[in-house]
Order: sequence, then structure tokens, then C-alpha cells
Amino acid sequence: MGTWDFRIVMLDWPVLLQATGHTLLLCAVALLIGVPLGLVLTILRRFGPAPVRSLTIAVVEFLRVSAPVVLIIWFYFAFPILTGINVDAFTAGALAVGVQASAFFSEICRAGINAVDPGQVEAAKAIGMRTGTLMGHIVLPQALRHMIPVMVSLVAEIVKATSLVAVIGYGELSYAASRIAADTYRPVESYTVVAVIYFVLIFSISRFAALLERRLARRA
Amino acid sequence: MEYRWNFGFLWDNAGFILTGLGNTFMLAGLCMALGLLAGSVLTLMRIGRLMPLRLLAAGFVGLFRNTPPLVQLLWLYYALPMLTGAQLTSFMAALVAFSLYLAAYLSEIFRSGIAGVDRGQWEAASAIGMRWWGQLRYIIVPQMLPRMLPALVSQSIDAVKLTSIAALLPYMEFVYNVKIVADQNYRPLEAYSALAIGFALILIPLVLAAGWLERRVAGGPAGR
Repeated sequence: MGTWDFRIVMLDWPVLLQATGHTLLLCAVALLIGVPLGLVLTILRRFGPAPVRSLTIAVVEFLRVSAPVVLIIWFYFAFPILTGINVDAFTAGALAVGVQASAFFSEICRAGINAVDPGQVEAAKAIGMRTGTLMGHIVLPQALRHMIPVMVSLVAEIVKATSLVAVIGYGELSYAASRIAADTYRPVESYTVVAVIYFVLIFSISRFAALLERRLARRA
Repeated sequence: MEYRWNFGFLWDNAGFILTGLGNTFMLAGLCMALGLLAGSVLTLMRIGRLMPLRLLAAGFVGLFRNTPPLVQLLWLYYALPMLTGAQLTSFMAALVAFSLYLAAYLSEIFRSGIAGVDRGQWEAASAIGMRWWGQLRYIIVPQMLPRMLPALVSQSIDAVKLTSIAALLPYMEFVYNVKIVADQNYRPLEAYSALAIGFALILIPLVLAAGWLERRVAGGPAGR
């Protein structure tokens, strides 16, 4: 059995750096899709007419129980046939991860809004506030305090989910790991280095979430 | 040109697809069982009094929660054999990787379950002369279990979702078998749409159970 030798793998540092960039870019675009779409889902679920609300609940539940791999494959292989729009691996991956994130994000919003004491809403209504003002000035500022740490944790989950975009051959970190392992015949070092990069990314995000949670809890 | 939908080939390959689905459930069930076992051990290590064990368990949980399950799986499947000389089958690699991943999450659930039981319960049990193990077994666990159930059910939903990652090795579970059928019949739209909907449908019983348990726990005599 060979000894550990990271030199050969580290010679591929430009590939690793680029793949890390690709992973972060995927996360960023997935968030850009997921957050606005999640807000739309939250609003539809809260203020839409009854059939729209039921439909929104069904969509959110469907997305929450879907396996990310399945959504990624669907967006890459099925979505172009259905819509006639050609998507590359990056777009399909970002869409799949982003659309699923929107469901998780809308659940976070709902939980955050529900966590606000109903007395606050009643009090605001009693002094004649309109729904928009009530949400903007009373409910959302308080809900955000509950939501922010959970949202940061969601980002960590998104980083994990983007690793699965390797299934359609997009060159993010886990795909790079397989490529470097094949090129260098050093699977131990390749997968270990990539695991460490992921750990640094995800662990920093989790720590940041925990820090925010403590900060915001203290202020409450 | 109008697209002609055709789902017939899925019906023709139903046996093959259902075999994959069976493998999915088998893998998920075994992972969940092993995960519960390993998660309990981890929790005992973390609440125990031995500092080295506590650090070891905390390190393990931190490592597995903060790396993608795919990378853990690839590491076990491609890197471990180079170190040990023994190649795991794709089933074994998936079983070990996902059990450990689930164990890390389950031990967090157990730990917060234990933290949710009032400190005074331990003290009272200790005051009537119960040993630590007895306190845990007869006083703490029975109180934390009902409150943990919704989280445990949603963790088993995650277990089923996790197994789909094994398709990348490949392990012949639901997703992989549907992919083969899609490739052979050149019908990705029908195959993957059916897969996406089918995957969600098979989890509906678990989703409903989680919701029901949550409402029961929230409204039950145990209080919030």
C-alpha cells in the first residue's frame, strides 16, 4: 500500500481552485433563483385564493421530498424536451438546486412569520394598519430575526446539494475530485483534499449560522 | 412538431423499475436502522463523562455533517480500498456512508431530545437512588421519545432521498434503474417526469405521518 502523498494532487491546484469557484457560483445562482421564488411561494401560500394556496402547498411539499439528484437529472434531460429551451449542465444544476431551495426557503419564511406573536398582528390591526404596512413594519422585522440563522444553514445545505451536479458532468468540486483521481491515480489524496475544501466551506457557514443565532437570541 | 407522449415503455419495464425501488427501500431501511444504532452510541459518547470519547464523537458528527454525503460515499468507494486493500461493493459503500451520515444527524436529534427533558428529572431519579443508566433508560428516554418522533420520521424521509445518491456509483436503486430504462428507450422526458413524481409519491405516507405526529406532539398532553 502506498503512502499518502499530496504533492501530485496539489499540482492540480488550478483545477481545484476553478472547481471551488464553480461550486460557489452554482450556490450563488441557486440562491438568486431560490430566494425570490421562495418569497413568491410564501406570498401565494399566505395571501392567494384557496385553490392557489392548496396548489402552492402541493408544490412546496413535492419539492421538499424530491431527491436533488432526481431534480438535477430532470432539469438536464427532460426540461429541454418539455420546453424546447436548451440548458447546459450549469444552468440545469442551478435551476434544480435553486427551485428546491425555494421550497425550503418558503418554509423558513412561513415558520418565521408563524413565530411572531399573533398579538402583535392583532394590535397592529386594532390601530388600523393595512396588511402591507403590518407585514413590513411589524411582522417581517421580527420574523427575520428567527429566519436569518436558519437561512444561513440553508446555504450550507445548498453547498452540499451542488455536489450532486457532478451527475450531469458539471466541473464543480466533486466532479473535479473524480477527474483528478483518474488523472493522478491518487484517489485517496484527491477525495481527501476535496472533502477538506468542502469541510472548510460548509463548516465556516455553519459556524457563522451558530454565531448569528447566539447574537440574535441575546438581542431578543 | 407536436411531442408525442408515450409512457408505455415504463409499464413494459415495470419489473426492473420496481426491483430498483425495492433496493431503494432496502438500503434506506438498513441505513436508518444502523444510523439509529450508531447515533445512539454517538449520543451516549457525547453526554458521557469521558472527555476523549466526547471529543471523538463531536469530531465525528462535525465531520459528517459538514461534508456532502456524495463525497463521503466516493471516499469510501474509491479511496478506502487503496488504504485497506478491500474493495467495498457499491451497496456496502452506500450503506456505510449513509448510515454514518444519518447517525451524525440522529445524534443531534437525540441530544436535543435529551436537553428538552427537564434537568430536575435527572436529579429526582438520582435522589431516589437510580443509577445513571437507569435514569436514562426509565426516566429520560420515555419522555423524550414522543417529542422526537416527528424529527425521526422526517429523518427517514431524508434517508430515502439520500439513497438516490448511490445511483452515481452506480448502485441499482430506483433512480439508476429508471435512468437505464430512459436511455434504452430514448424517452428521458417521460421517464424522468415519472421518476420525479413517483419519488415524491412514495414518500407521501411518511410526510403525512410526520405532519400528524407533529400536530399530536404540539397538541398532546405533553405540551409544547
